Amino acid sequence: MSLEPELLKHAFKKPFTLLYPFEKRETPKGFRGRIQYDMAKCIGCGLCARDCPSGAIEMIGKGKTAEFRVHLYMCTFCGQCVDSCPVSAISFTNEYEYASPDKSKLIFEFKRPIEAEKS
Amino acid sequence: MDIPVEVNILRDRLGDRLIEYGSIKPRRIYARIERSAVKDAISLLASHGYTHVSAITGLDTGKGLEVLYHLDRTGSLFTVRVDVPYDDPKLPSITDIIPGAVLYEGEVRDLFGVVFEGNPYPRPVVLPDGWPEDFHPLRKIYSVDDIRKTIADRGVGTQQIEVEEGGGAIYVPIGPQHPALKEPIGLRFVVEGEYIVKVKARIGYNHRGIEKAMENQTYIQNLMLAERICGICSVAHTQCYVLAVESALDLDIPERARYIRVVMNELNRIHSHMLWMGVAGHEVGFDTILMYTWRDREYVLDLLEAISGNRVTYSINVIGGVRRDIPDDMRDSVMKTMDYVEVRAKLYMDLLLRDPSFTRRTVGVGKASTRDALTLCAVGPTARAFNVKKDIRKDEPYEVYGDIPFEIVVVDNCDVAGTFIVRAKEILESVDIIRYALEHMPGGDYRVKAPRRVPQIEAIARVEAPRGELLHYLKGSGGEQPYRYKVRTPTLANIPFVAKMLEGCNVADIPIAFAAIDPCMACEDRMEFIDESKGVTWIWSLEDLRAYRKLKEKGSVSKPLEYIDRYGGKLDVS
Repeated sequence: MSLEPELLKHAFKKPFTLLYPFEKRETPKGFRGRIQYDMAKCIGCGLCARDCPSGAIEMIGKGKTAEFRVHLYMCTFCGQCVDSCPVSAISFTNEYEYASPDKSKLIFEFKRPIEAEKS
Repeated sequence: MDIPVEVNILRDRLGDRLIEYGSIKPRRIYARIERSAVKDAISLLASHGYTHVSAITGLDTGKGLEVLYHLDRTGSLFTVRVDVPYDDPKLPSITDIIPGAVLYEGEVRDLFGVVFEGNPYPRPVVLPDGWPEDFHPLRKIYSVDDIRKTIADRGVGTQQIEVEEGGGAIYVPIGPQHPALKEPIGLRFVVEGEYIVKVKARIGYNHRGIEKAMENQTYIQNLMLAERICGICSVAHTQCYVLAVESALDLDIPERARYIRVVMNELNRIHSHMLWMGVAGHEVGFDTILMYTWRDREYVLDLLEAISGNRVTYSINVIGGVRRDIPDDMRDSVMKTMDYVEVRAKLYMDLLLRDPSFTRRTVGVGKASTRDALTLCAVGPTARAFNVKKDIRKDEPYEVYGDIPFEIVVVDNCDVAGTFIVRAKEILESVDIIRYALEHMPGGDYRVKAPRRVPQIEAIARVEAPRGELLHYLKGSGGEQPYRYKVRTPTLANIPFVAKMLEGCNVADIPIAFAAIDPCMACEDRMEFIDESKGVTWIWSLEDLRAYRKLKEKGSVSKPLEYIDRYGGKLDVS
């Protein structure tokens, strides 16, 4: 067998690559993108910050009033925090475009909902 | 406890010099011996089949140093333990018995300061040239901050000059940065005309200190760190890590998790071998193959992403099972991709082995004998291409490999073409393993809860990574962090052997012959300069380059050699 038939076949095919950023790939179900806190569920145990292998999660305060700051530029997208959370307060989004020249844009803060909003 | 027969032989020969022995886990025997008996013990074991050094581990117990020789004989590891005091850290080298131990000894010398008398590799293996003689980073008295400070003070560059001279021989340096090599390794070739006579390899350009880092992190965090040792065999590293930790914990994981791990391991192997095929095509100038195989590899990566949520670092293995299940509706898409991969792998094998532009560059290139592969302790597909029947999946079945029918692919080509055939056929074997595993996967749980602390137990795990035998050694501290963690990657094991393969090759064959082991490193540090008219070679660090540039801008020097003459107190060049 020689390579020619294979080459010929490919001459009539569309390019395999996507024309990013004009065409975007759909992320699969269960994609590990940026993490998202549901602060209404969070009990402030701090396991996420403790288990984070790269120290991307900063916990401000303690217990039920604790708030979180996620330094996305340090995040390795391993998903350990989602796994460690005992109340499933953390979930993945399917966002994957974060490149930014400004570090501060990659810091995400999650604050407690105000009581009035809750009720 | 049954006393293994090898221990009896050792006891007869060594007498009092055998201090203690035992076997904590199946397939793992250890014997602690006196320092004076090292060579006797190793040669005795080598004559009883333990001819393969899997690794040499250094250990700082706090009371003294300990050196562990892990010798392998088809699936059982014999660990010879020797105590070495801090004040006189000397051991005889075993390289005259097993030449493949050369880099392992050098690694322990660098990181623990144990001097192996008679080791032929004089230069540092993993540390930068010019690193302080008495600073051995893995000793417990040095903290991570000490290491950081030393690097900050002196830079990772070097003050040491390597001058290569010799009567009439021509030296060709290739790497660490070279367009022909994708990996940072410093190879020095002695050539006669177009033929390579001798090869010296310098590795360690990307020693990242992961072992030290692991001693300072929890077991959960280390899982992610282990995954990042290598981007391509990321499943193999976590697999080995969880095996070591689970073995230390005596944790039994659900059957379903074992099957999922096998599927992930094999998908990992397929994409790694496809990547290698493309690189091999590229190295011989056949870029069409690179495009085709890498396009097909994308389908496998898509699968891995669909299962785990990420294309490169899957974090699927966790201590106690797997993080995600493979649901039934995903099984069909895996099967479909496997059919496609099978067709393509067969096509490439057929195409390339009949294509003269490929065969002329690979058949008969990088020749070495089976004996060389054995004595230099080659591993993985490289060894199997040289007729060494060695595969950890069969020799020491982990997870459910013992229940799955598959063949070890061995060929006796003993050249670069052989490594291609082995990898292509292994893709087909992996496809069959995945099909079998998916069909026979039991239901039920896929994860159990694991404790966060690991007792003070040692565990050694071995895995057949895409590149060969991978060994992880763990010593628990009783707390949440390991006392010592050691990783021996397959590429390190294959370096002495590839140096042998390159001997007798053509200079033009260096890239493909070196790529045959599927090397996997990563890079940084310095530059080497050659002044052809004077026949001088020297190495400059980044600081030297900066200093030279400044001086040149001022006009105080005009040529590099002038700079060395005038300012190079630390850069004495002959």
